[in-house]
Amino acid sequence: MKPSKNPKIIIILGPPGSGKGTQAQLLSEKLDFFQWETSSIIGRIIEQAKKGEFVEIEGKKYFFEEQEKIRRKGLLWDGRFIFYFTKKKIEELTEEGKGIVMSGSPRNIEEGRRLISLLKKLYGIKKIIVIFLKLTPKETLWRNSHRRECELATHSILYTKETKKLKRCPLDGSKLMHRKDDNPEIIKTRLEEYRKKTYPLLVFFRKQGLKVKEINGEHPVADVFNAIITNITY
Amino acid sequence: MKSSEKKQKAVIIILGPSGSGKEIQAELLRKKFGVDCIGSGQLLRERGKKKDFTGRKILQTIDRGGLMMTPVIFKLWVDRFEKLKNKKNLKGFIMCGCPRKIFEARLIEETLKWYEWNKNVKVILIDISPKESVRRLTKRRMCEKCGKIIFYADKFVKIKECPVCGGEIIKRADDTVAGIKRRLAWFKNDVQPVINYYRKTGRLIKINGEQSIENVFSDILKALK
Repeated sequence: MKPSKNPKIIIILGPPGSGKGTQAQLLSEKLDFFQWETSSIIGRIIEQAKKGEFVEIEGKKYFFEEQEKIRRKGLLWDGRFIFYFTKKKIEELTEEGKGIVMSGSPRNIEEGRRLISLLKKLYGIKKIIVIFLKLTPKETLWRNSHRRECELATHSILYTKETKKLKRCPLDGSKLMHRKDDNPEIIKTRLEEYRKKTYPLLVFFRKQGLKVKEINGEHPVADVFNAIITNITY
Repeated sequence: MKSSEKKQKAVIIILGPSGSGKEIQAELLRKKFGVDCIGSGQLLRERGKKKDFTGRKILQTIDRGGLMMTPVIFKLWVDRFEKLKNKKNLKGFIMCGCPRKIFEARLIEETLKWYEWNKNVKVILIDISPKESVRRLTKRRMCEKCGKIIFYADKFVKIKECPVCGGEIIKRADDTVAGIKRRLAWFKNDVQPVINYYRKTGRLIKINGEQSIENVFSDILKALK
């Protein structure tokens, strides 16, 4: 497969623990791309909203205070609400000429359909590349129950002989913690969610004619990163 | 930052000698506020991709470790400012490690004025002594692959692989005593006048850099309120 020339958007798809977030961070630093995180993009808008402020989407009013409650309860936002701000932000980044790397979204066919139709319009099919990181469920369970994140900059720390006994992050000295959603029960639920809703996106992306590159996510992070980079020229 | 937004976009300039932890603080601020960070290095590498005269010469200069001519950097800054100006919901931005000379500071001043961003400029100096700079840099190690820096090098001497990407942890070629002394001398000659200039214009916020990254960050947040 020929490398993708100057892609505008890189979508990383893969099960929990496949290293999507880490690769997205490394790519965003290397290529000066915007690292897309739906929750923090919308979170910031909600936090800065004034009392009683709302947006109207397809005739429905979404009050920011209610959306904040939904977030605090750990529930999911409505797809239309998410896409409204996704579209806005993507258009902004396009105007700036900034590339995007996405790792946690889209999460299902509905989100994927909306997103791809927008991206095709904005960039054209050749500027989109999908990286699929393969990982077995067993490996997901092992990795996620072992990995830790630091409190300050949320650096994701690999579990290795060198790091397993560390209490603090070697990059910024803050406390290392397990992510709240990294307990075995929740991981299993997330895996099931992934299998049912997110994984089918792979077939969808191919049908849409997007370039999809499969990479073995079990390899060391640096190797996976090299494998991704060889598929991109910039 | 929130209250100042209503007035004018916030421009945060981060200065500090080598080893003061500018980059990690810029990373933390970027994550906290979701703003862009403009570093000369990034802009130059970007420009270097164009295979024209200037692109080639930029790459040569970077390879040799030479100093970049101000007009070249300046062109890149202005182009970037223009892009930022077009941004709809711009909250502000961070400039990390620049200006590097008093000449550049004055140019930036006028440019910020042109873009109407000069009213809410905050300059953060992460202050560490030359002795501390030498102590940190002689021990400093970083990942060859992703460039992450092992900050508390003396506490994490056993780390040979990058805890984030698994790449090899190496010493930077110019982190030698001679190299560090050269950078410190440059800081004193070129950057100190920049600091004095911001002090005189009442925009300098001095932060004690000789404490944990967490504490430096919380001091910065307090100062920005």
